[in-house]
This record gives sequence, C-alpha cells and structure tokens, in this order.
Amino acid sequence: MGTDAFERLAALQAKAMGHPDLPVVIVEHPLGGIDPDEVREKAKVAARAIVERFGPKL
Amino acid sequence: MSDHRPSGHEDIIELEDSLEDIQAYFEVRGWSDGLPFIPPTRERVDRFVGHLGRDPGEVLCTLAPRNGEATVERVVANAVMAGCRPEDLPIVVTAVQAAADDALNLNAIQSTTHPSAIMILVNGPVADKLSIASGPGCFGPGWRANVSIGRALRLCLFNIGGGTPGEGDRATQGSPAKLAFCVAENSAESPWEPYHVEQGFAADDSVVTVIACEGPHNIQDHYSIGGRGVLTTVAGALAQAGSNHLLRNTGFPVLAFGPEHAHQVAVDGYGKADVKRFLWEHARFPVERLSEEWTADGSYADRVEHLTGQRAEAPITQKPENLQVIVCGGPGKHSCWMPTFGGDTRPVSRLLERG
Repeated sequence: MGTDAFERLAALQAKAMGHPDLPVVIVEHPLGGIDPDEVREKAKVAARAIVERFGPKL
Repeated sequence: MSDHRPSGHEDIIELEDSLEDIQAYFEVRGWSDGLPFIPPTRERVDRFVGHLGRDPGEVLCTLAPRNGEATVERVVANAVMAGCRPEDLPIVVTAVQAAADDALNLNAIQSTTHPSAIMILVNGPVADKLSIASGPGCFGPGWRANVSIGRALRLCLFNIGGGTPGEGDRATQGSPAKLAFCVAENSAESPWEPYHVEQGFAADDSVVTVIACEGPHNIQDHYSIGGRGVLTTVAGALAQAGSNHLLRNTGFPVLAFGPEHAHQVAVDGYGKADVKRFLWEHARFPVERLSEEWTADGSYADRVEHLTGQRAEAPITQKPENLQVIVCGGPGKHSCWMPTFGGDTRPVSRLLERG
C-alpha cells in the first residue's frame, strides 16, 4: 500500500524484487501528518480496493 | 561519438560526435545529474577498466532501489562520466560496494523523502596520493578528486540503482550534497586518532567510509577560548529540532571539527571519548518545545527517560559512542555537523589497501 505520490517508486521496487504484478493499493497523498479521521477515511478507500481486488478469496 | 568495437557487455549507442547532442540524449533519458559529463565511450571505458585490472563483467554488488547489477564496466562508465581519473577508480569501486552494504540501508536512503546524501570519507595514505582535499574548503568545489569521486558514486546510484529524483529518489527537496560529497580527514592537523583507527584499522591503512547523511551544517564559535566553550556551542547546534536524531533519539550523527576548534578542545584535556560523552550529555532538546502532537501520548518522554533517566530533555542518540567525530578543514573558527538518516542507517568502512 502507498500513496499516489509514491506509486512509481512502488512499481519500481516491486519489479526490482521480482514481483512486477504485485497488487498495490494506492490512496491519495499524504498519509503522514494528517488528522486521524482523515487516515480512517483513507483506510476505508484502501479496504474497498482490497475487497474489490481479492473479494471472493477474503 | 561512434565506436564499432563490440563490447561483449553493454550495448553501444551511436551518436553524433557532438557534446551537446550527447548531453541532450542522456538528459532526456535521466542518465545524468544535470551537469556536463565526459562521454563514456568504448575507448575510454576500456582504458579505465584496463587500469583497474578487473573483469568488466564482474558484478560488484546490486544497488537499490532498482537492484541494478553494479558491474565493473557500469561503475567505470559512471566514473568516466563524473570526470574521474583512472587512479580514482579503486575508491569509487570501494565506495559503491560499501554503499550496498546492508548496514547503510541503501534502499531506504535512496528512496526516502529525507535529503540523505552519501558522504565518502577517505582516511589513510591514499588521500594524499590522490590529492583528496582535507583542508581549506574541503567540502566545497575546486578539488577534482573530491568532486569527481563523489559525483561518480551519485551517478552509479542514479544509473545503476535507479535513484533518480522523482523516480527512485523521493527526497522532498533534495540537497546539493547529492551532487558530490567526498572528503578526506585532516589527520595531519587532528589532535586525536583518525576515524579509521577508531574503527580498528591500522594508521597506514587506506580506508573508505560511506555515511548516509545530510550536507554540512556549519557551527561557528569565534568567542570561546576554552574547549568547554566550543563544546557547549557544538552541543547547542547538535540539539536541533527537525533532525532525524531527535525523531527517535537514535543514529550516528557526524561531527567534523575544524582543526582550530579541535585543538581548543584537545588542549583543554578532551579526548574523543570525552568529546562524545560531553556532547551526548549536553546536546539535549527540551521535550516541551517539540510539537505537542509528537509528545502528547507520553511515549516520547518514556523513551527519553529510558535513555537518560529524566523526561524533560531529549538526547540526539542512545549513547555517546554513536557520535562519529572527524577533523577536516582549514584555518578558522568553524566546525560542522551532518545529521544522518537516523537509527536505520550505519556508517560502513571498507579497507581499500593495507598500509
């Protein structure tokens, strides 16, 4: 999981580590230095993305 | 620029023999640091590899975050670009390998938002042999060996490691220290044992150390005459809000005394261990002056208390021994310190050649 500002780094690292198709959940930047309520909202976005991606297997 | 000799290793790119065209070609592809460079032609790279005397296809290490293979040929090509001389190559190779050591944590250092450069510190006879500056202006421009060796490492981190700004390198603001950052210790003017001897090497060994740190933060003290006064000023500078060392009270900050300050301190009876003990005890930042959002839940003060026995003043690292002390520079009442990335990176020293 990462923020959109680091999406390219995530792709680079996944490829470098031999997992070019690694699913990465992206939320809007930033995650640091924000109100806990904002973090929870972003967590919901991430959770929905994870369910969509893996739904039947969860 | 065209050379039809087959490489057997890397692809050959044929370009018009124009420095401007070559520069533009590399820049568009993110292969350059923005400064003009020496084109890494087949002839130049082969000549440099021949001087080094190693197999061009030998894999020295891998460089994060791309985990690119740093072959001898690739490292040499970047050293050619940087303007290195053939005799600089052993230091570049050693620095690249040291940077790949797990202890430095290159993956984090390359990709962090922190402006972490990598300082190359050279100790021992090789520094004089290669004219690596340790005296006046040693951290600045004007010294070919310092600038080209430092630049070579950075170009390797770009082109092999994938640490280009905005891509693998996510530094929020970056730093001029990321262009070239290489210095020799001024052991001749130091009152204390050299850094490499402290690490367990012999005095006449030549050693390369890499440290993931910010560029130099100046510390001037023109008024103190005694060593304690100088150390008091230095302690005040080290206790800096916003440094990674105050974040979790960890890490190996680097303190580079100018020779005059070093002598003032030494004359007052402070050896290196005494300096480190004094600074650790006095380089403290009031916890109440940190952002309340850092400290509200009490866990920060808990850690301070665990380390120091009190909760009010935060140390910059866990113990005095973590401070890295060197001497460099010329005349003048200035020293400097380099905050590092913090507790997740350690300096790495590698032997270049035995004395």
